[in-house]
Amino acid sequence: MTVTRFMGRLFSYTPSLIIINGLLWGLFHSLPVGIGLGMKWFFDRATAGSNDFFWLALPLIVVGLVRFVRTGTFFIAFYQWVRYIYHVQAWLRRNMLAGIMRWPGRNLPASPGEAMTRFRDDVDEVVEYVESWVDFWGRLIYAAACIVIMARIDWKITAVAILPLVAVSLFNNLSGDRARRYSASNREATGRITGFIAETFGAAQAVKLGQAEEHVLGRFEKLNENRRKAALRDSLFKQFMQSLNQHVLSICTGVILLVCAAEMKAGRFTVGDFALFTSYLTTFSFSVSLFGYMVFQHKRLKIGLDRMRTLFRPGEKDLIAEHSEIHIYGEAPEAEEPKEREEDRLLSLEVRGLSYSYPDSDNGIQDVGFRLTRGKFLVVTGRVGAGKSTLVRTLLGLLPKDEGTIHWNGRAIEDPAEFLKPPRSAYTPQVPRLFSDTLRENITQGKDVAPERLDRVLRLSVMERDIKTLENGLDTLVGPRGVMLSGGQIQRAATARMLMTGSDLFIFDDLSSALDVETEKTLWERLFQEPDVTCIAVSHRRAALSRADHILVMKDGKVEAEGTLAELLETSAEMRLLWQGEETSSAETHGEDAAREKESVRG
Amino acid sequence: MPPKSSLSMSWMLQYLRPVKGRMALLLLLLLATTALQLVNPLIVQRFIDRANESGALSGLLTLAGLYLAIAVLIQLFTISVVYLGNDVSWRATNRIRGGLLKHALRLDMKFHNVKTPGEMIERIDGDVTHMSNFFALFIAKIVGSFVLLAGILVYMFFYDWPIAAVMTAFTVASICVMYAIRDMGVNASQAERQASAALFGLIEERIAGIEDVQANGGVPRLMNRYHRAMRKVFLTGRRAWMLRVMPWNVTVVLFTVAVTAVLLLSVRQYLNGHITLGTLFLFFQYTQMLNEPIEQLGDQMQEFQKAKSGMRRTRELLSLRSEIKEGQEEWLPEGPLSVSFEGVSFGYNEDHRVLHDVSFELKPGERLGLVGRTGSGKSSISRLLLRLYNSDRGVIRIGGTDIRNLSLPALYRRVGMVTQDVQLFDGTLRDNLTLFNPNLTDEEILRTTEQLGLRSWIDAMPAGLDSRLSSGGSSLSAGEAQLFALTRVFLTKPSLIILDEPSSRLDAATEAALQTAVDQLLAQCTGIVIAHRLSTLDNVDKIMVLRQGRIAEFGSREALASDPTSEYGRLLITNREEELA
Repeated sequence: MTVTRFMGRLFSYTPSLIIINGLLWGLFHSLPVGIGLGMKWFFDRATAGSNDFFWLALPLIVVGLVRFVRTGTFFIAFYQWVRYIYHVQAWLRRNMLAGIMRWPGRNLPASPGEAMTRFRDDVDEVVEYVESWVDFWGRLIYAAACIVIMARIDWKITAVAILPLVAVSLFNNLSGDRARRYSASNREATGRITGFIAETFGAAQAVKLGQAEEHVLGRFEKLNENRRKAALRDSLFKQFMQSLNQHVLSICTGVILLVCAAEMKAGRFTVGDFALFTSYLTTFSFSVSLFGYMVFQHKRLKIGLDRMRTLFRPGEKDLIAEHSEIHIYGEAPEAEEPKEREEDRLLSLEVRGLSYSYPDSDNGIQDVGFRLTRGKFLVVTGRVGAGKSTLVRTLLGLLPKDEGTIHWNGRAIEDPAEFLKPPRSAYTPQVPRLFSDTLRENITQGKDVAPERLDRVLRLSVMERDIKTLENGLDTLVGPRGVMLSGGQIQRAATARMLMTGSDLFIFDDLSSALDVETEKTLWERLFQEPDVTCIAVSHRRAALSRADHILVMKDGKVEAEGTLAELLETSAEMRLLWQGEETSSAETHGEDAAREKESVRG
Repeated sequence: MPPKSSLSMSWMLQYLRPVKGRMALLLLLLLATTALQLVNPLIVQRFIDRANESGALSGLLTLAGLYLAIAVLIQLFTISVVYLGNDVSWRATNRIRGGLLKHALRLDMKFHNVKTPGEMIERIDGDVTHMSNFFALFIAKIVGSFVLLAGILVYMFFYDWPIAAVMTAFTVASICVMYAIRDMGVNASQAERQASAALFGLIEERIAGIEDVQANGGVPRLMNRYHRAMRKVFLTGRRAWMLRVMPWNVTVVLFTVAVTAVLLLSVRQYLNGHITLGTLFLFFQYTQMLNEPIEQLGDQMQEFQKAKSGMRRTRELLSLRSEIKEGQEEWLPEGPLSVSFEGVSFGYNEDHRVLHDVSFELKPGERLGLVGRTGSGKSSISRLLLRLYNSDRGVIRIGGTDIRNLSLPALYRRVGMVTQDVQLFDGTLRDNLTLFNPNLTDEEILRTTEQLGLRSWIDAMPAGLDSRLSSGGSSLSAGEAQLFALTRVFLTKPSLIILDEPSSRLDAATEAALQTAVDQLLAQCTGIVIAHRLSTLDNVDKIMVLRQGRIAEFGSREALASDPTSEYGRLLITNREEELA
């Protein structure tokens, strides 16, 4: 999408606002034409040699009135402009947020802190360019009127004033690449700073304890210094471009003086004409600067636009300019509940040949497959780095799969991220994130939920006792990332959030890692008392393994072995290693006995 | 009560002190520019008067040439002023940014627990950038405008004092009015900044936790939240913009009145023959020239109000004090450190106590295993030890010294902690392992990673230690991240180490491999290991069982393990049963 097309989409998004703004600012900017004419009128009368004070004062009073009208216009125009600013901001930010939420979440094109500069600075740059366009029409009318009036007085002198315009526009065109480069490096430097701040405060505790305050500050100062240099270059160049025309034109006034000396001597060029020329030229130079600057802005916006477009998935980049609702005048409608369709109720999930490899590294998963039917419990196990979490994320579309197919009830799923979410499936990440809201808001995700249903979910996730000990119960504010809660509480709150969705398939990525043995045991017990629960769990815990209907043993990104626990303990060395490691003091046979016992109980 | 404006100005000036050389140069250039700006209309005045008299054309051409030369000089000076102004502003505001970051990092965890990273971006960068715009333009524009204004008025007094007096009166009136209503938009701007910080906080937080949002169907709800936050920004912002623009509007109206009055007076003087046509034109030109500084001042008032709200928020942040008061003591005994708790009680808030009267002692080099259910106060013990919070009652000693008397750097130099929550930076592996400490050599890093079994992983990376961890380490598994955190702490060579469930995310096979390394490193220091997997605690010397914030049991591990009636002994049995169930 070119900047031109983007701006076209922007203007057609709220046509009424651009028209109102264009008209009001057009009036505001073209009124100085009257001021210049008034001053010429005045000086022409002054040189005429009359002694009547009021006859001479009349043009001045008219000029004063025009100025008042202009100020009044400004106030109204400004109000409309402020409305426009927020329309543009709300619109772009909405589109970007919706766009980034469609990415595979584990594979974002920018770190969260960096993404923020897109939401802030790049949007501001668009607003700045829109501002130029709003001013453009009035400035154009003004400039055209000036040229006509001045040319009628003396076309030669007018030509001297206008030639630099052409020169400067050409110059601006030539310097576009440079402008873009400076702007890009400035934005990058800013992105690094916002990213660094976000990460530093995300890691405040680690920084404190690692005695790293000084080192972090040192790095921050270095980043700041880099940005100072980049910003200085950018703003100096921008300023230079912006004021170039003014510079050229103030020099032009000198040239006009040179040219008109003889004319004035000969009486062909009056003091009134001179007043008009100087009055027009100051403001005229602003108009010419604006035109030159807009060429520059247009080129520079390409970078901002590209940076914003990176937040959208390939093929969806143009959604940045999608005409969407922004709801800034009234309450936004409540979020729609996803529709449940009978034919999408889980019967079977089949995964074949699933592969994903991380860019710039050999890690990943290759050719993983399994089949899961309703009511069954699948456990994925393996060592650190075996690819367990990668498998789950690739399945969910949080990482974009390189190869492989996913079938739900025999139907191929093209976009797993779009399909594998409530009411079909729900997920608790290995390191769950809560958001700085109340605990209730985190668990219900803002939905209105019947208290009985909430109680049931809290009991299932073994949260009920914690609620009582928390200061404000469910209304406790959990802080950023849930820091006000303990690790175990965060994990169970995230589990509750997942169960709250009432999905057909629950996916636990190492749920048990932050839970103590008794709590974990209770959780599994309660969960399996529920009828009709289908689960995929990443785990290396006996508690989970022994309840599994089917186990996948991962090693180096591949399925090393699969089967029931009893089968695997006999056939897979890797499984035995994992199982034994889990309880170093107990003998191998113990485990096998237990597994057999378990089989017989379930069988 | 908001701080007085003069106070905030002087507060800002302190950041300009280190760049005073540049400032002096800047002011000099500014004065020169203004002087030149005043000269040019004078040339035009001569020009008109001469053109109307009978004189040689060459005289007119000389004047025109002079005008041209001065115009060029003015442009050169203006550019230099802008450059220097920006430079000074960036230097000064970077100091503020650095100061803020440092200050905010020193605040206690109670502060960090309620601030989102997105909000901190707004406070450390956003608010300061508002100030920086003001800084840059304040010098070039406000000071410049005032100098120009004063110059014009002084000059007018030489020519015609009644006109000059009227102009002065109006100028003073405009400035007084502007001054009186300068703060009109500050409160509204502050509200706008707050709303915008909340919006960015929301966006940043949800992007950082995007997996949780997406896979649980939270996106529609997020959009709803976004709309509500953006609407708040719109409503507060509209109000703030309109209030901020008032001073500008008022000044322009006053200026219009002033210019009309001055010109009418000039007409009277011209008709009386007190001034020439050239001087009449000069006054017209000066009033034109006044237009710009006055509009600039009005314009800058907007910036000023934005800057001031930013400044208030910044000072608010800077005035926060950590509840943790540092001591002076720097010295701790060499080697492993002893630990003692004497009657320690603690709660995160007053109503709800987490620890009740906890007392125990560890000799240098001893290793303690801490066992208890979630919420029993295990993590609180480690947080108190590291002074992330203050205890309400009782004394904690490390190496015999009350930790309240120790300076925090002295404490953190010797005490390390590994938690399950690993935080990574977007940077190289080296940055992440050393937390930007440039004094650690690669050999040291590699030796430690070797011990902890992370070496092969690093070697597999394309650029070794210089490889970048993409966007906060998203390609790292939680287990690998855990190894990272361990390495990080062991690189600081602590004398007391707290492991808060360090292996909870590791599988048993990896944990077993790691355990030897951990044991090796623990051999050189005192250790406190918090775990809910009892097998992790096989090598500790002592066991403490916590229940609801009280010590249920404390003793040597062997004795407790062999006593089936002890709390720990029973736990071992149920644990085994559970593992095998």
